[in-house]
Amino acid sequence: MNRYLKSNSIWLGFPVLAFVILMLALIFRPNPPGYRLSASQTIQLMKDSSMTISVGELAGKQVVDLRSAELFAQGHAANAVNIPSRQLLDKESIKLFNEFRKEGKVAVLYGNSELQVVSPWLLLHQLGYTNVLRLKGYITPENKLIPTEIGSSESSVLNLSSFGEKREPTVDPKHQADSQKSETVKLVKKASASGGGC
Amino acid sequence: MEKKYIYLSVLLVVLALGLVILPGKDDPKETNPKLLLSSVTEKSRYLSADQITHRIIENDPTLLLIDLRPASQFKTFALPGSMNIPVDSILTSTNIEIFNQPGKDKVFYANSDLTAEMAWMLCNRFSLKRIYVMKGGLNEWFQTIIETKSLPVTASSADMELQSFRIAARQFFTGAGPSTVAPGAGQSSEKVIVTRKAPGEKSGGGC
Repeated sequence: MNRYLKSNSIWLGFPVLAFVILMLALIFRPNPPGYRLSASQTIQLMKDSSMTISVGELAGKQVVDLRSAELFAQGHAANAVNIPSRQLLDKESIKLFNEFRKEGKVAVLYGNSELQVVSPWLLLHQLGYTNVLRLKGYITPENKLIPTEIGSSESSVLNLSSFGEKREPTVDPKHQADSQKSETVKLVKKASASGGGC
Repeated sequence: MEKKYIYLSVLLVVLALGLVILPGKDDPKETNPKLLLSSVTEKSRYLSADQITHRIIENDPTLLLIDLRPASQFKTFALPGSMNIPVDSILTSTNIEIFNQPGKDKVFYANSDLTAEMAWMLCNRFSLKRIYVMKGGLNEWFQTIIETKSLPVTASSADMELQSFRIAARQFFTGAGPSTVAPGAGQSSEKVIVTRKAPGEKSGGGC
């Protein structure tokens, strides 16, 4: 056996070496630009209403336009910088967000709709950019920032009157009893034969 | 001791270490943020109110509607067949099992699409598949289907067809409409006047 090991030590050494390298790579693998927030912290953040800012409160904030460069070129909010959402994690964009963080600036994201902004905002927060807020509004095709309509917010605007009784899946027992109640009809025996017929 | 036993034991120890270090199968697999961003820019996760309505009416077995609103709002009104998972409890182990159901399209909705979008984002971070967002949420669904507006006479035939689908859908959901009888109408207390002969009265029939 010893002789076998000695004569084949190089060939036997290869798989052992490969295994050791694999283990080392797994131990010291570089973490991707990691998430800083756990799932439960993210859920808390999702419900945090202080993470939105209204159109009237933009003074002194760094406004970031998430629309495409073409739309940005056609018009944008005053003092806005353009970071298209596709390029949110590019080197230049991250550099810019790092600068904002370093300078203590609050960045406010806006786009064509609030929906366009929600995911980039949440992603940046999960990556540790806690100085990023989202606008409770959007930019119109005429390049005006306006607040989000109530129907597009998380407030309920349902008018359930059109549903009537169908909305209630349970049947009112009293109503059911009424509907099933059969009218009793008394049989009346004729006192005399009818005079009908020819 | 023979050397071969030493080699063997060293190899076993290394293998055991490997098993300890390797990520377990149950560990939630996180999507790389850049990959997550590319799926954010992909819009195929959005399903319109009309698409959802079609699938509800057809009783699509692959559709699993998830209502993310609080239980109180869910009790007041919810889309037929939907399941209430308030956003707070979205990533409990039971709910992850629900989201991992094979062959099901999990469609998130709340009053608008903002909460659903965030919940979609979180689920995608943890590599949960076949999650969709109902565009506009329940508010838009209500406006589109239940409060559907009449079209001008000049509307295109495609628009008219869509409109007639929405009107039919409204009847399906509310049970009320111009051409159908409202549910419960048969049980209503409609008064039927039964005229009876007075006892003893002779019939005057015959020719």
